[in-house]
Amino acid sequence: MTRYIIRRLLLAIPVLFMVTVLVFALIELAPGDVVDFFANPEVMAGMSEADLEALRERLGLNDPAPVRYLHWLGGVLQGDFGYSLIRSEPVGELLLRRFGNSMMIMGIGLFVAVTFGISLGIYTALRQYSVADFTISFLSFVGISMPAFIAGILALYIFSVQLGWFPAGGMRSPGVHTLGDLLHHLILPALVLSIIHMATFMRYTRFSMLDVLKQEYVVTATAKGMPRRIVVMRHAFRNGLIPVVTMIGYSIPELVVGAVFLETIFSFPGMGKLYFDSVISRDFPVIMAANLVIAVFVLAANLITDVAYAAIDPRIRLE
Amino acid sequence: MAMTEVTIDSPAKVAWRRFRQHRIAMVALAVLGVIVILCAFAPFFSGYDPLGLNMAAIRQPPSADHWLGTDTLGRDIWTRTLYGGRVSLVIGLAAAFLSTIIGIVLGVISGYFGKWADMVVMRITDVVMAFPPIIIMLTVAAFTGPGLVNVIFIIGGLRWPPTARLVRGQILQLRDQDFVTAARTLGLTNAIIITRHMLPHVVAPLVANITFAVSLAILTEAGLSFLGLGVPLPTPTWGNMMEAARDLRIMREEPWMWIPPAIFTLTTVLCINFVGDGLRDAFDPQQLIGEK
Amino acid sequence: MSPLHGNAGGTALGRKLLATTAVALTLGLAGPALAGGSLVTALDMGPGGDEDARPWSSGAGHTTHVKQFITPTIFNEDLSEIVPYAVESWASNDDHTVWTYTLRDGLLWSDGTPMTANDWAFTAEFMTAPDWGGDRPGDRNLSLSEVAGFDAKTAGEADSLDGIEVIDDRTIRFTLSAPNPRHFASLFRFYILPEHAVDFEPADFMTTDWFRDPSRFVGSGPFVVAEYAPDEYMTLAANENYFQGRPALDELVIRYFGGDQTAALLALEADDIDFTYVTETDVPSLEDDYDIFSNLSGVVVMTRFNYNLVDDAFSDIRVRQAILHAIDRDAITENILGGTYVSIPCPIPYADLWPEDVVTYGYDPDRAASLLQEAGVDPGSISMEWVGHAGYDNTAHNSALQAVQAYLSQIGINDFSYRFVDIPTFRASYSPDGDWQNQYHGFGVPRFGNDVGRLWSNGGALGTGVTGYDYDADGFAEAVAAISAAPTIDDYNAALGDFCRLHAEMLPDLQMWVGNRFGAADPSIENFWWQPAPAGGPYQDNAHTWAVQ
Repeated sequence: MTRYIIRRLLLAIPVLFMVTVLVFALIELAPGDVVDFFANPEVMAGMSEADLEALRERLGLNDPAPVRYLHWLGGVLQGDFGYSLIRSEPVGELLLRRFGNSMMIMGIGLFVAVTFGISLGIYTALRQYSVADFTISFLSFVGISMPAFIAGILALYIFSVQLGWFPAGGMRSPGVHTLGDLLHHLILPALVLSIIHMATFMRYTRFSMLDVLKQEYVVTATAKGMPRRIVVMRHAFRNGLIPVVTMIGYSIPELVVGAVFLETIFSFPGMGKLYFDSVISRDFPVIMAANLVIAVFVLAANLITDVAYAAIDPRIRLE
Repeated sequence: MAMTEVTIDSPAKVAWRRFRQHRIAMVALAVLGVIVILCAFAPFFSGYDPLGLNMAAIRQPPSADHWLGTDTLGRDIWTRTLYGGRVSLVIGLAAAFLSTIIGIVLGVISGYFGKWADMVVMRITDVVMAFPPIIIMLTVAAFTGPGLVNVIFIIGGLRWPPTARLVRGQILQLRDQDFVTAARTLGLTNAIIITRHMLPHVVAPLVANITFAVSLAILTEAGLSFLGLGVPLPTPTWGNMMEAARDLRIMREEPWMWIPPAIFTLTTVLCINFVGDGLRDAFDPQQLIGEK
Repeated sequence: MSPLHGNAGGTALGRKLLATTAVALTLGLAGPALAGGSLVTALDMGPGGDEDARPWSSGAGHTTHVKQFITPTIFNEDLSEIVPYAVESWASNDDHTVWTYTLRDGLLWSDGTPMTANDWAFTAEFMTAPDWGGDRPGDRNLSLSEVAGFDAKTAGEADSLDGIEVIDDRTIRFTLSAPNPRHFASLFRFYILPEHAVDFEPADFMTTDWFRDPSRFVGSGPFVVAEYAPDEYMTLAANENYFQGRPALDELVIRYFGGDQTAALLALEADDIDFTYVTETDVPSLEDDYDIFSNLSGVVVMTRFNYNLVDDAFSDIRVRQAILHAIDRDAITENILGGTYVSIPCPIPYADLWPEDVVTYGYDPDRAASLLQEAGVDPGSISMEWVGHAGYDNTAHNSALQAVQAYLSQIGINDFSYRFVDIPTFRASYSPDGDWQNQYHGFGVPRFGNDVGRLWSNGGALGTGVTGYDYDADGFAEAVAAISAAPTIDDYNAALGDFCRLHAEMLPDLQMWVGNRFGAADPSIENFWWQPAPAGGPYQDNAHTWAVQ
């Protein structure tokens, strides 16, 4: 097992390298650069082509692409992620802050989604085709049949504007620095996030439990007179969890950067919005660093999933 | 363990018989059929042109003339919902199909053959998963421009990693089970072992996966238009019709513009899910055994 | 000698002045004796909003910058003219190459230090340092590029700007490299920095925290920075030393919404903020409960053609005329854009400047068809793709362009499509030498700024050629030059009128419409003033009089 993990960690290095090269290439291929972003197409207030050229020169955008990539890589290896081209801030600080924000909302959201998703999934599996099964299925599908942005607007409109239970977006009330205030701001977006993802966990759990409950060893255990609760929890649940664990792993990058529309409508400064803004402004130091962080997360999640497979099901051998 | 060959009927026939007994799945299939027919033969169910604007009838609530009201350009919402379904269903089903096929093929290669094949495939999966799709979408958009086929390929081409990992996980579990070993000892080819004996066990998680892939594709299409890549307006899609609710006035005062496509999307996704439920039961290898 | 400042311009079209606020707008009028209170706003939510809180290098955000710094001159409250702000008076020599400005008496920085002409000169030298680190030199160029010695200084060939001379503590003299009869109109974004407090080098302009750090920041506007929470908000505190008197508010909070108007509007309705920019479609549902501020945006939306594409049917003026005749712009502005847009005869947005004899292109599909026939162009062979940038990707413009598509198909132009792309793509792919056909976008045309000429002259970032697109026509260069050379606002307005007439006649690009923009404020705010200005102005909003009940 340890050898396997070490090997996977070593294999992560070429994967990360590939990811950064590909992302860099994609930014290169996308039309325009950050200087094109600076030149406001509306106001035309006196920036000449010469100004733009000088700016490109100063930002090092005129160097050949491989030189710029190696320069970036050299910096990263020394722990220097560079400076955001549009946000006047070191990328390291920026990412740390935004990532921290995302983790708060994601942490709550994922926890709620996984807990409720798995519980409801088991519940509906044990009561397949009951009224409860249909009601829960129906409700969970409302969450995934609506664009996140619309779900966010509806939530804000109902709970902030109409009922006044929660603040309408933002992360803190200006000037207030208390944990209570922070949580008050986090709950609504985190709940919307969890509703969007809950259906996924619920359905996978349900399907996979149904599958497992019919396996011989579960049937045998039940036949031997073991209490149903113990059978479910001890035997079925462990094995039924495998596809769910895969989906949790897959959800993490989506939760980190896929929440862009939700962050937008909740004016929440997280990673999704940062990544989106950086892409549309070609702020490549931020895109590259953010991608690196996301890639590390994905690799870690996949590794944990694979190890979890082996832990849950002894028949799987890690090679 | 016994094989499906023992039964007289072919597995497909058995599955269909079992599926028919599944009342909810049958209802869902029927509703899905109605939606498909409504959309495919939209001109028979509406006298309006989905693109024909009418300045005299802008933002009208539902009425006898316009069953579901009109949009900001005076176009009939009922008509646009039906025509929008054509595009959205094609995108949803095609993208889900594409990602499922890629996912199954790679997942099987990875899980069944293991060793270096597994290593290579899983590292490719890692790389693809590590890309937030937006950057790929943006670059592709810049080179190819907007269009239905691009949307399908982008959504389908990026959604396969969870499928591949799911399939791989299931195959890993099955690979060393007795019946697979037995099949191998009998000299059955890998292709037969995989398609006949292993894939039926993978159906359960896949069905859930396909359901989500369909809804995700329908919704993602609308999001893509923000990057200049979605299906270009004025072609209606359920996704871009729902996005109209970004406008607060439409969201709360003119809900007839966005609720119909939302209901159609929800119904479609629900039906696919219930049909999936039925399929899962119908293809359940354990239950097939019980039936012999 | 020139007059102190120009006469009042005409009344802005579509302006709905709020009676209650209009009273307090006269410059220098002290606010009511309501002290205290905090106002939370989304001031820079309009197009191009800015969250960097850094003047001199932002594409927008002047509504915020002017809260912290004063400028020599400023737009008045309705953007009709440029009026003195930090300066008391100005004078120029007869050929308008030497300008002398006198600062008001008794100006103080927020830390109590007197503001002098040396601070002004220091700022000029700082911004023209060859290694100045700003990444948007637009405001720098606007403020200083006509000063003698600018090129030498920025290129590092001279140690100081030849054209700037401090006469005494309150007097500064500008020598220009070319005559400018309205040089004072180049100074409305000249945020003077305090020489004694600036502790960073020009090269570090974009990386310094100075502008956000309450312990280092020294300003001159009605407010100073008190807390900056990146991505979230900036809290400004009253500046006791502001020359028009201490603000009535203790605190002005500017909350950031990442440019999303729906998010800001929801926050307004949930009572989390007191003011935000709103889109035209929101106005009907807000009118009853909020004070609506509205004015002409000054941003003309039009469609440009790429004449660099040689075998283009559009080089025939009859084809361009046909397209305008085919589109019922009045119906679109009235019905689809909710009456908040107005169709225009030329890219000058102000109705009082349109000459009576200007050629207009009303809705006339028959005429459109016959023009195409005269030109020998088969409408079926015309292919058009209008490309706009993400700033227009909203319900209103999407609807308007779908309507354009329907109108064009009525005269047989069926191959029409449009799309919105992000700004770098727009700039890079749709620059003059790009392989594009039509651009759909806006230009900010302030009433009395010096930007107008850039649109159709060689300046500006869009490239060279009379229009930037290799369109050539007699008289355009002259018409643009006449605008730049106009000595008084009357001459200037007349020159704009001549330009309008010529543009309508030659039709180098298709003027579509110009919109009003709107802000919604909670009625509990007193003396509040906001109005849409290209990039946020700055304009005189008398923020020191704002108060909350």
